[in-house]
Amino acid sequence: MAQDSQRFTDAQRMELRSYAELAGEVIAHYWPMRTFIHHNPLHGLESLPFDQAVKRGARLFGSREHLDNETFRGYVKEGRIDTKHLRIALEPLGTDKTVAFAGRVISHLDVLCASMIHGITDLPPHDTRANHDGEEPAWSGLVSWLQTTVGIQDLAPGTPLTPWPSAEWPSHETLGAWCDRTVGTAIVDTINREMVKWCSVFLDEGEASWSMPHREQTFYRAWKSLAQYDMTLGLIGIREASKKIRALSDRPEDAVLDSLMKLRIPKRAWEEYLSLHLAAIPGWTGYIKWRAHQSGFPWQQQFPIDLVKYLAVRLFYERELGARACRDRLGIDGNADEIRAYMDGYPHAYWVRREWVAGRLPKPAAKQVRRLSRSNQGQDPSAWEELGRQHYHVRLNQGVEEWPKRAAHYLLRLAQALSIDPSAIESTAPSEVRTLLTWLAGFPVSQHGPHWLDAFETSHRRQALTDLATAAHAVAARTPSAEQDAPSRPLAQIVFCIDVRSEVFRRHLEHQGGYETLGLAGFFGVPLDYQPFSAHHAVAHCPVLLKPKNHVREVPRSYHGILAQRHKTAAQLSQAAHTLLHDLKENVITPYVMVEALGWLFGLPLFGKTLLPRWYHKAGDWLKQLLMPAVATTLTVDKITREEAEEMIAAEQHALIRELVRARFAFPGAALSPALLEKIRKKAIGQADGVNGETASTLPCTPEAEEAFYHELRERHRISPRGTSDRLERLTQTGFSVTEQAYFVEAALRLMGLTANFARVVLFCAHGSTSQNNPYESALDCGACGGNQGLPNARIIAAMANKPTVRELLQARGIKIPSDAHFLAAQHDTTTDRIRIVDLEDVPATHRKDLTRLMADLEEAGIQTSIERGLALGTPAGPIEKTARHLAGRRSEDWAETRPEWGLSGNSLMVIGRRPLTQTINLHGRVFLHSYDSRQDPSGKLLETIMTAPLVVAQWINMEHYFSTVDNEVYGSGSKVYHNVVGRIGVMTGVWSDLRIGLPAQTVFNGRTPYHDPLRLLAVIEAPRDRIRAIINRHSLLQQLFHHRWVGLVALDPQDGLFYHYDGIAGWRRGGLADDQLDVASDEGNQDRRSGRAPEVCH
Amino acid sequence: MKEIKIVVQGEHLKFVTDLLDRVGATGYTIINNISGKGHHGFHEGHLLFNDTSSQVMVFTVVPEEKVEPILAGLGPLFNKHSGTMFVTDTAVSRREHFIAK
Repeated sequence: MAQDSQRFTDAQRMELRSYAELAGEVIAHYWPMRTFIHHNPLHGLESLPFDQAVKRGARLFGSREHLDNETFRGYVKEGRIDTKHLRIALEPLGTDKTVAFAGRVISHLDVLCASMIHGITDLPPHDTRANHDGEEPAWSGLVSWLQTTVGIQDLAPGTPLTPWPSAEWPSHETLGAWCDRTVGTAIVDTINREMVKWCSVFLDEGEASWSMPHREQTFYRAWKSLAQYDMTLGLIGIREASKKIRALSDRPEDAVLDSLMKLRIPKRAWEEYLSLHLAAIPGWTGYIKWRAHQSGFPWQQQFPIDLVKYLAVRLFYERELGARACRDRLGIDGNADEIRAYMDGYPHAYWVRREWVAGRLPKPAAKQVRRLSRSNQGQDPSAWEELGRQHYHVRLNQGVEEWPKRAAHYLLRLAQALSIDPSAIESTAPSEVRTLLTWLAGFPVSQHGPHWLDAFETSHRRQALTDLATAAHAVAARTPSAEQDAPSRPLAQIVFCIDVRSEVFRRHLEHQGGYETLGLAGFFGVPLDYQPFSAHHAVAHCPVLLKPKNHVREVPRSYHGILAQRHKTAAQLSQAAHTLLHDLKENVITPYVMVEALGWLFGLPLFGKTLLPRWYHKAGDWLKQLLMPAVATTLTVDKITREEAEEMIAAEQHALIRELVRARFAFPGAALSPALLEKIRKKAIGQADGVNGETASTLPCTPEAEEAFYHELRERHRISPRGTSDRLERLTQTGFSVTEQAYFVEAALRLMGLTANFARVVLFCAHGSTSQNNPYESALDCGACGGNQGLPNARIIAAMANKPTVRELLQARGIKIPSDAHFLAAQHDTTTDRIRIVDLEDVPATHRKDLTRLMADLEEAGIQTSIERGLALGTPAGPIEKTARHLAGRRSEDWAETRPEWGLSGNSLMVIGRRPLTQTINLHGRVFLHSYDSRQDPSGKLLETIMTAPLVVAQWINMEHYFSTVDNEVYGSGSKVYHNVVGRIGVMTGVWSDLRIGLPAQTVFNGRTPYHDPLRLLAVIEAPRDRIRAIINRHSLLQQLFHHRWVGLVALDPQDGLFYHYDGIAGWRRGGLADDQLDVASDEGNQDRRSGRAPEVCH
Repeated sequence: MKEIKIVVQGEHLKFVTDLLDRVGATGYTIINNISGKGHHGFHEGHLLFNDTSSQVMVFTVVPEEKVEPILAGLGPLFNKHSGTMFVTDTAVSRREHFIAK
């Protein structure tokens, strides 16, 4: 037991917890893979402007900040970045100065642009000579001209001694990282390995055959009780480890406080220091953070872990390994004070050590340093300082000598870029050359990224907005006739998810003619906890921003009662067989026998899945149908009243008691009166006193047997007061009250502006995907349903909207749904592009023809969609319809397929407005489409809901793709080929790595080139500007997104039909983008609008 | 006894309840989706599809010695994020219900 457990007070502990919570904000939540959630890996940094957050992310996680400059230059060559837009992006940097370079007047902006487009300063300095072999005389002449005539030595860039002031040290590096970089240890790597080892065994969710002992004691205590016996600690460099671990406090807070004190980290630096530790393996810590926030998560309840417990372990390793490295190599204590004193007292020693470790010293110098480190002066800081001073001055002199060569190289490249004769360079006035070089050196390549991104976005958005403006124009032109005619009734209205993949399907379906399609977040506004038939747990079907309050169960339809029982038995048998097989496989002995006996059985799926995947899956489906026939189900939409629930429970209990009495007492069923059953039941659940022995006298048995019988009823079958009330509570929580149902239906309909002119068929079309052997399958499902398939949500809302009682309430609230309008639910399989309509039993006979036509048109639209999406996946050119379908089917069934579909890759835009605005444009499956009619939302509350939830989810998806593309190794998960599933929660690369976050390379890259264009989302909202602005002002979340440039915003104001760009605090700017007047205010129709007449558009 | 009222953004609710549990508050009440005016202007609590950006109020009653750890735990959070906390004297009818065993 620790002797100092009372050293810290509760106040200190709670304060530490608060700092740890804040430190953890830089780490994004990691949702378990079974419900992959697209999110921004830098979500915790959204309070910073985008550019700053990207820099901070690079510092914390070691990532790249932007795509490399060469890729952007490739986009310029392909015409995807217009150089005009690059100039616009650079305007804030450019001064109004000009220089006369080789007889040509060029502006500051010209120089900056040329620097980026031609990579003038992009080459590493030592390459300067190699690049000028062909023009050696010109280059050498230029070098001496610069040295003698111009005199540019004072402009030479400096060589800083320390990367940052010593006082800032704990905010930049951990002690381990400092040691690694200064004395060449591998402490961070060692600690990471240890942490991955402990995290992966502790966090296992049933994958491991032998689980970690003592897990119920929490992560920290389980580690403490096991690590004492870890013999490898001595090997990694921790002496007397078991004694030290035993001496640690039992409280994780005290262990962290103790470590921070030993490391002498000042309190003001705690948050950042702990952040650095958490950022070392952000996948595992992100998962711990997620798990610690799940109050009801069974694994967390049983085996608690949180960031403080994690830090308690991590800091123990750091302080021990750091102390040893500092003592052995530097002769100092491993704490912040000593490190600061070392950096300040021996800056050259510090410099030369870091250069040596980084391999930046020339060979002779490195040899000298090595000799010193091995001598008996190896720890003497003065000897190191002296040696460091010598080499630092050599480096300075080298820099001064190198500079004119680099400068000459810059000038030659600039002349080349501007098509200027290189021989004329020397005619430039020296002062002008100095200015030029200052401009070029002052704009290093590391600063180009943000401007490339701006230019790339401007070019892309300009095109998108031009298309939208044209479409808006066409809508406005159609307006007058539409006003006169009453809107015709569509054949059907189909509501799709806002997912970008829906756009392609919607377009093809609309091409069939007569259909109206709408976009709404795929949970259709109904958050629910859904428990599928024969599943033991419910899953939340809603965006992760929400916590569902209603529970819905999938139950067999009453006519399938017997079949359902068979299904259940088959499922239980199958489960038992699986468990048996798993146990046999994992046992120490049995596999030897099993391979001989059953090994060949495994060959069947192996060959089937590999050689004949389609045939194999068809055969598998047939067998499954035979053994476990599909059961028609329905959902528990309605709330059960207490009385109904009590009756249901009583009926269940009566049946059970009857069975038990007959089995235990050989009592004839006919003699079991309902009154007797009720008497037994009431006694068991404590609602009737009854006389002991009363039942015994009726049933021929002893009072002891009666007592044992009641005991069995209560304990084993939960026919007890507690068991009954639990069941009652569960039953009454299920479903929705009629008022709730009307509320949800109304919200969904109003959100998408569908409040009149209902078609005879209204189809809510959810989506999901099908693929094999794909841990990322859930990433292809519906993000608005929390990474699940959205069908239950569609079924629920369709069932609610069909209820006459709900429709009555809706009518009272101003939405009249005609009696012949029938709501249906379906699911779009985004891999095969097939749509499956469900609950067909409920379709009235009058709608048979409508349904047949709709199904035929959905099939045709599906074929067209799979052709279009197949082309993007590289299907051979000009596929016939059958081939496209066949290939799509194969991709969904082939277990070697690493890219069943492109998913949401390519997303870049979100349009919140009426469909006619986008209907005439091919948006190539890159746009989130949310239907919204601003005329029906004068208060802006509907728009507020859309902007604070669907827009946020779209931003998360966009950022996940953005960062996974910009740095797939850090923010993405690398190639799928090396992935190993770990602990049923995620994947690692190989056998040891961080839990991989983000998207795999196969999702965002086509070979080595990005398939997804990393662009920040642009939201285009068709609504009055002041309404949008008021909503932004009310939500700090939205202010962060728009003011800090995580999302761009353009309003299409229906009051004047013009586009306005939102410039953050500065407000609205006319035209979608700076250089374009993307308004449609040039025609006669718009004259009307400017005179105050709002455009009326047929919806 | 002291009554403590804490108003925070929905996303910090779990931290607050966790803190109260650790300090040994025997219970607390949560009011979701509240409206009101503060440093950041008026906040209207109508229903949104985003629980994390709504405001919630948590209130609890604890013995006096628990106030300090709660304050210490919320201090760093309130230095970085918006939120308020009020502490008032209060009387309770069944004192033993508010003292952790």
